[in-house]
Amino acid sequence: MNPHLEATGTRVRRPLWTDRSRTIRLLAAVAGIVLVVLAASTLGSYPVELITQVLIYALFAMSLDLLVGYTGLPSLGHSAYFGVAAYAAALCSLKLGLPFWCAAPVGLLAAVVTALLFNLIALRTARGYYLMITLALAQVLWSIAVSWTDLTGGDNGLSGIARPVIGRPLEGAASYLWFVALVFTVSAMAMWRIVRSPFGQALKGIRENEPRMRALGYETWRYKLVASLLAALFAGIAGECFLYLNGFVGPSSLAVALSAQVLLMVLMGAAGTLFGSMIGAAVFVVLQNIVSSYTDRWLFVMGAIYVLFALYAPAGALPWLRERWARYRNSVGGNT
Amino acid sequence: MTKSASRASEDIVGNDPAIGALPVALKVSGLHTYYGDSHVLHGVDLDLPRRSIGCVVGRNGVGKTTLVRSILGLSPPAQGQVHIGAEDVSRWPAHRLARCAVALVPQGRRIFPSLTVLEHLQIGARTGERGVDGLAAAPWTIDRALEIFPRLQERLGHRAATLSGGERQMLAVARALVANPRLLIMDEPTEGLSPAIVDQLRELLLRLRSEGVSILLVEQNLAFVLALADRVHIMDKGRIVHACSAVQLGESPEMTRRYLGV
Repeated sequence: MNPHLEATGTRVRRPLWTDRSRTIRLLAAVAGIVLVVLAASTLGSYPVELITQVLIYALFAMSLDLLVGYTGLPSLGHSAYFGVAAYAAALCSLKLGLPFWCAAPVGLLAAVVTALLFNLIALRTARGYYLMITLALAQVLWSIAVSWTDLTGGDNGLSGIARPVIGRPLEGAASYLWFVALVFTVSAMAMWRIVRSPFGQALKGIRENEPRMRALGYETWRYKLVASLLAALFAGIAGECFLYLNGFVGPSSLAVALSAQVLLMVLMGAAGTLFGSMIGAAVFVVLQNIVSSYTDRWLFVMGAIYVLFALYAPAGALPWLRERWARYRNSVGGNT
Repeated sequence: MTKSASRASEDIVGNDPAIGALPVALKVSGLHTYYGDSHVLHGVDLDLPRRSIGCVVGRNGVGKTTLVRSILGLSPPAQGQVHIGAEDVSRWPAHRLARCAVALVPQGRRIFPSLTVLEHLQIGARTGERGVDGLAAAPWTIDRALEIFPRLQERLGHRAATLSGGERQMLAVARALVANPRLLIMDEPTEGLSPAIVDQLRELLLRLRSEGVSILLVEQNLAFVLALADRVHIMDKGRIVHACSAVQLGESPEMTRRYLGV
C-alpha cells in the first residue's frame, strides 16, 4: 500500500500499474547507469570524462527541475548554488587545509545558506520577478568572485584542489566516474522520493494553482522555501563534483550563462519529470562536446538546435519520445 | 492548529437542534473589498447560523465570488469584519482559515490538472486530519468520500485533466469533504452539471447539514436554492439587498424577476 494512504488511514484500491512499475523503472535506471559506467570504464579517458560531465550536469539540471518543473519557480540564478558550494569547498581545502570530509559539507552548507538568503528576498515576488531577482542576485555573487581576487583568485579562479581519497585516491578518470555515478544515483533517488512524497504533491499543487493550495490550508511560502533549499543542496553537490573533476573553480561556475544552460537542459528534456532533465543534460553536454570539436561557432549551432526543439518538441524531448513510441506501438498493433 | 484557530473551529460546531435558535457559524459585517480602484463589495452583511444552509444569489458580476474570496482571505477586504464563531478572522491568511475547518468548493472546480484523483484527495485530507474532533458523524476519510462518489474510485489513478466536467465537480466536492469542514463554502457548485448529479449533490448537502456542517452556497440555479436553503441572501451591485427564507423567495416572483432575471 502507498505510504501516503497508510498515513491517512485509508484502504484505497490503486491501479496495478503504479508503484510496482515505478520501482521496476527505478531499478532499470540504476542498472542502466551501472552498465554505462562499466562500458565507459573500458574506454579512453575522453568518453569517461564526458560521461562524468553528463552525470554532473544531469544532477544539476534535476536540482533545478525541483524548482522549475515541480514548484513552478523559474530561476536564472541556479549557478549561484553550484558555484558557491564549489568555491566554499575549494577555499576550505586551500586556505584552511581541511580534508574532503570537512570541506564538502561546508560547501553544501554555504549553498543552502545562500539559497536561504536569496529566497527570503526572491520569494516575496511573483514568478517573472522571481526569475529576474535570482538572476540579479547570482550576478552579485559572480561580480564578487571576479573582483575579490585575494580570496577567489579573480578571473583565474582557484586551482590545485585534490580529488577526495575514499579508501584510495580517486585520481583516475574511471575511479572518479564511479564516485560521481554513486553520488548521482543516491541524489537522484533522494529527489525521486521527494517529488513522490506528500511534500512533492504539495509542490505540484503550488505549481498548478498556488491560491488554491492556500485555500486548502497549505502555507505555500514555506513549501517553496524548503524546495529552494533542497534544490540548492543538490546543485551544491553537483558543483562540488564539478570542482573535484577539474581540480579548479572559476567565475564561470557562477555565471548567468551556466544558469541559462541548465535551464535549457531542463526545458529540452521536459520540466517536471526529473528523468527528462537527465536526458536534456545528456543531449546538451554531448552535443556541446561534439559540435565544439568541429567549429568555434558551436554556440550558434546549439542555439539553432534549441530553436528546433522549441518548434518540434516544445514540451521537451521526453514527451516527444513518448508520443513517438506510442505511435509506433499503435502502428505495430494495427498491423498485427 | 493554533489556540484561536481551534476555538474558531469549535465555535462552528453546535448541538442545538433548532436552526433559528443557533448562534452564527459565519458573520460578515460591513465588508468592503476593492480590486485596485474598483469598489466591488459595498458593505456586505450576512449571517449564517450553525447547521444551516445559507445561499447567496444574484446575477453575474454582482460580487458573489468576490464575497467568497474575501471571506476566505484570498481577496482581503479593505474594511469590515468576518467572524467564524466568535473569532474575527478578517485578517487571517487563507491557509490559516482552512486549517480551522473551513473548506471551499470553488467556481469552475479549480482542480490541479496534472495531479491524479488520488493525489487531490490526499492533498485535501492532509489538512483535514487536524479538524475531525467534535463532529457527531464519522470523519470524512478518502474511503468515505469514494463511497459517495464511486465514479472517482474508478478514476483514482487518472490525471484530473482527463476527467469530465461532472467528475471534476465530484472531485472538487470530495477534496473539500476529506478536509472535514465545519463550514463549507461552495461557489456555483451546480454549474454545468447534469440533473442527476445535481440531485446527488443536493442529497449530499442535506446529509452534511444533518451531520453538523454549516454550508454557504453561492448559486444561480434557483430551483436548487429553493430546494435546499434555510435562508437566501439576494445580492445586487456589491450589496446584500434582501434576505428571506427560501419559501418566501419562492412565493415572490416579483423578487426573482427583479434581482435574478428569472
